[in-house]
Amino acid sequence: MKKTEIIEGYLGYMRESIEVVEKTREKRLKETFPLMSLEEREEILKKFHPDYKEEAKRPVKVGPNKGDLMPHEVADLLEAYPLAKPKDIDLSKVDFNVDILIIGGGGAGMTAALWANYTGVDAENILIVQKLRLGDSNSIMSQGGIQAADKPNDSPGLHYLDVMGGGHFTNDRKLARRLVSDAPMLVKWHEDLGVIYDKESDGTMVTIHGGGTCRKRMHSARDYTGLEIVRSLKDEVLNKNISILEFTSAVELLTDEQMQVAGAVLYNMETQEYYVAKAKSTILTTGGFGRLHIQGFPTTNHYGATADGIILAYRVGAKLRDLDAVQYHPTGAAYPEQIVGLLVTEKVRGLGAQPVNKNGEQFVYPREPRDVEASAIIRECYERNNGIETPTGMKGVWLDSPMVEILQGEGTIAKKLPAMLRQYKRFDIDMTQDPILVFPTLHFQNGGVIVKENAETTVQGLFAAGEVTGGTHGKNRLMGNSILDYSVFGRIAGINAAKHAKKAKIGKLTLNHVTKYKKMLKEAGIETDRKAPILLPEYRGEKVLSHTLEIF
Amino acid sequence: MEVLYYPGCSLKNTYPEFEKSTYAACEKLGINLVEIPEWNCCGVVPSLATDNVMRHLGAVRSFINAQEKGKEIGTNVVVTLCSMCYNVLKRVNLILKEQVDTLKNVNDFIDDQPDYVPELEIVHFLSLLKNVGFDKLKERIAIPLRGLKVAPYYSCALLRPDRPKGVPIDDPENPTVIENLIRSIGAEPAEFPFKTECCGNYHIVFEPHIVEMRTKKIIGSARSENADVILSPCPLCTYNLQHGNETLDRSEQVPVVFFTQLLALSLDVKSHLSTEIENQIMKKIGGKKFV
Amino acid sequence: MSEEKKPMATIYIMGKAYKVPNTLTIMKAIEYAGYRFIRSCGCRGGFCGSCTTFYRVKNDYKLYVDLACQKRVEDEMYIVQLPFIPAEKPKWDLGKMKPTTDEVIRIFPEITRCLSCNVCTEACPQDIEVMRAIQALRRGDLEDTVNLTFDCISCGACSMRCPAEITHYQVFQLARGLYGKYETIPAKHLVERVKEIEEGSFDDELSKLMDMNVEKLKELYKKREIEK
Repeated sequence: MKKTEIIEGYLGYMRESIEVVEKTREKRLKETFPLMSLEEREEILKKFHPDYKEEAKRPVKVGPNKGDLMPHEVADLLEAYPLAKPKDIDLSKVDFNVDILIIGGGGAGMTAALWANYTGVDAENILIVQKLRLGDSNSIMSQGGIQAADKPNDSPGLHYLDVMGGGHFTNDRKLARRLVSDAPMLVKWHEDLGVIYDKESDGTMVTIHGGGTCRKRMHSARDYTGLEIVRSLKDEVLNKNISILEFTSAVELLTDEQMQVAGAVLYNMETQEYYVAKAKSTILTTGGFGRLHIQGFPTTNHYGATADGIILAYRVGAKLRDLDAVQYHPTGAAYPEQIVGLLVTEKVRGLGAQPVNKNGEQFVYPREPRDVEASAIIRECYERNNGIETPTGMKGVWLDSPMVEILQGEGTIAKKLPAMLRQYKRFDIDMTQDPILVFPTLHFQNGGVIVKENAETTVQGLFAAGEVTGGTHGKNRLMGNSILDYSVFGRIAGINAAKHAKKAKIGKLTLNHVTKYKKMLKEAGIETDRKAPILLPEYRGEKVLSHTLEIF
Repeated sequence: MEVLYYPGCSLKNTYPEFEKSTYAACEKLGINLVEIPEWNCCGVVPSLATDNVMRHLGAVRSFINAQEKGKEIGTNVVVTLCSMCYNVLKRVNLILKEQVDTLKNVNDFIDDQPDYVPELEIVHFLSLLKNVGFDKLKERIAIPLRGLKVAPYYSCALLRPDRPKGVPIDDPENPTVIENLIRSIGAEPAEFPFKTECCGNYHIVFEPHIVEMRTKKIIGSARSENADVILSPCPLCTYNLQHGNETLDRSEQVPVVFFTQLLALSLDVKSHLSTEIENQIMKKIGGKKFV
Repeated sequence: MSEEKKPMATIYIMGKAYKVPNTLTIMKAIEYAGYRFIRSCGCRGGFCGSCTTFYRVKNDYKLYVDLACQKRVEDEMYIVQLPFIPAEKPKWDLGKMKPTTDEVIRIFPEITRCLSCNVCTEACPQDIEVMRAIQALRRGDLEDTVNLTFDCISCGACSMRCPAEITHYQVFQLARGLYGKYETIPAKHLVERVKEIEEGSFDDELSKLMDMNVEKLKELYKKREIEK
């Protein structure tokens, strides 16, 4: 075969490597690559994890986290000017006056809205503001599952240990404890809502391992876990008639003279009209920052993941943490070109597939915590040169998916990974017969806005939940804990925001904090055209961008 | 003379001379042709087609699935209970057997399943019982319903129209198959003249008074023959007759049950009759309420 | 490969011709041509159903539908996107309903207009047997509908093509909600564990862990037994 001929999706030279992988498979089925020690983990992270590259970050020059190291892409946005000038916003005319304003309509936002409603806040007093359509978020894309210690051989304590270990023991302990303690309750709530989790014939939840877990406690709905939960949440939010504004962003939070958060300035993305939304409690559930493409990595994140919430929070003085801890999912698709960066769920490894280099050899325990696993793949491709290079220059290693069919029975992939099977079939690749090519991809914002156990940030009136927050996962999140995070803390944020709204008294609306922030930037010597939040990434072709005129 | 004129597409496009010469002649003859404003293509091809395929799709897809399953279990007989479904399936199957072109068109349209080869036999359950033999059935009866007078209601769908030929399950004017069933389960048929009258069918939706009028007559006729119960072969007829019952006084009502329910009762298996009706029947035949 | 050497395709975005590298997906091709998405772009990964795109290809009269983020461009392709599916969402309360196909038909009576024409199945970018799933409801088989439509991402392509004007994705969401809530067996161990946690059975265990210093925590972590 020619090296550049395409055979069942793969180029000739890739097929040659696949043949080697097939030859070593039988041997590898019986082998378990050893786990790394804590010391080995530290070493490989320091040498190969993108977070440890000194040139990729810098100390931010302004604000509550002045001096802290952040990736350039994040620091650029914190050291940027507001989208709207305070004098252009007429705060005397209030367009929306609600008890609870929720910025971000993904898993966390919808969970918060529902629990605020259950706690007694009327549907019309809750407003969800969503940049795209309700439910369009990272939540909808998670595939693998949600962790909860609900089996007799498991306990919240063991789950806690896993969470702490995965986070390199830097987690906020209170948040970690809350995460694991509330987990079974949230899974039960999902069951009551009608979410169809994979179950045995007697109702027992089907659970498997994830990276870094000591018990099989990952619950899933095939490989559509995120979609199944989000579409159920979305249906419930719509059934309850909770107010929603789609294609509307928040571009600035509002404060009052007591410096508590009092709502936000909203922006209709389609008509360019701004609205003033006054709220007794504001909840930030704006998700992650994958579309900033930190260090040029492709991402698994949805179109709107542009760190808006962090910027809004920072401007009112909220403290952040661990923004230099970026999670690169070890297995993003590396080929074909059309799906580069998209998530290949950890569940594939949970079901038994091994990462394998071009010579058909294992090089890492398949289920180390994500940052360790990602570092090992980067080392394999760039130091040891044992990866496969694709025509676009991307490098990757094989993930031996046919092993899943051998270990779990024929038809397992069709049953448990239907979305992925279909995705690859579109490009003529049959992942039950051939391995798939993977490389780390930018996936999750481990850090974020600091919150207390009751979801309150360091600024009164401002709550936060989900990926936008920091501390729960420390420096590295385990698989299955992000759906758990937005469920547990979305609920807590909704309940506490409702409680807070009962006694909150909002004074005169101001954008003084924005004026202060601008002054701070000028005093720090920051001269730039950059504006933040960016709301959406810029993907228009180079040729076009270099020839645009802003006429209307 | 003024007349409205329908030109048609060919005269306007390919053969304008046909129309133009006509206009010229008409002018000489004093005929004013007034072209219809907004005339549509007469739609000659679909209009003349007798193979309107869309309306048969549900039935044909079911035939294909039956055909394939039938190959597995070794039969080509399809049995139905609802008389409306019987009527549709029987007619469509006969049409496909007769009209080769229609069969080809529908097979071409359904390109995601195997072709239907019209070899299925659509049979109503009553015909199945008849083929088994009512005397054989009688031997299996455990609780003969002696003393029960049962009115045989045929609905119209089992008997009409006879187009294509082969739809009726019995003589359309004076059928006897349900009476024979009644006798075989030990009961006495109540011969009543309205047994083949239409209940009003889908008029129940928009003109319920028609249904009331007809079902009152049917029930009244059955009652005048002292029927204890009316047997029905059709869910829609049952719905309509029950509607009719509701407009009558208690003393004039006659309960309506599906024919298989009495059959089940007489075979001493679960009949799924309401407790009230079951008790009425058992009382009539002098039996105890059976568990 | 430099721009000039890449093999290109001509696509017509709402009628306007643009030359784009032929390896791009429709979504990336539209951006390459200079359009910035506000609508019709969501997860970019095939899960959210926001990028429903209708298209024809030269010399082919048939109308096709696919997801812009997954479908690779074809030369001489004529595309338009569906930024929104016009349909009101009927409101329901699962808690007050029964898990029957009758309930689904009651809320969506237009299901009874289904002619079995199968256009919906042909439109579906997720290879779902849409007609079969609707007919399963007519057959009284709620479970079949659920299993057939698990992969539905509510892109709405089926609903736009259906002559009976059924909004299939809404129908399926209701079917799955009823099934999930009533027809799956609740996990017993989950109920028990929630109760145990409420009663404080794990408070001691967690307090101990909370108070442990990092070194001891690390020791415990190293010693964890991994379930096989």
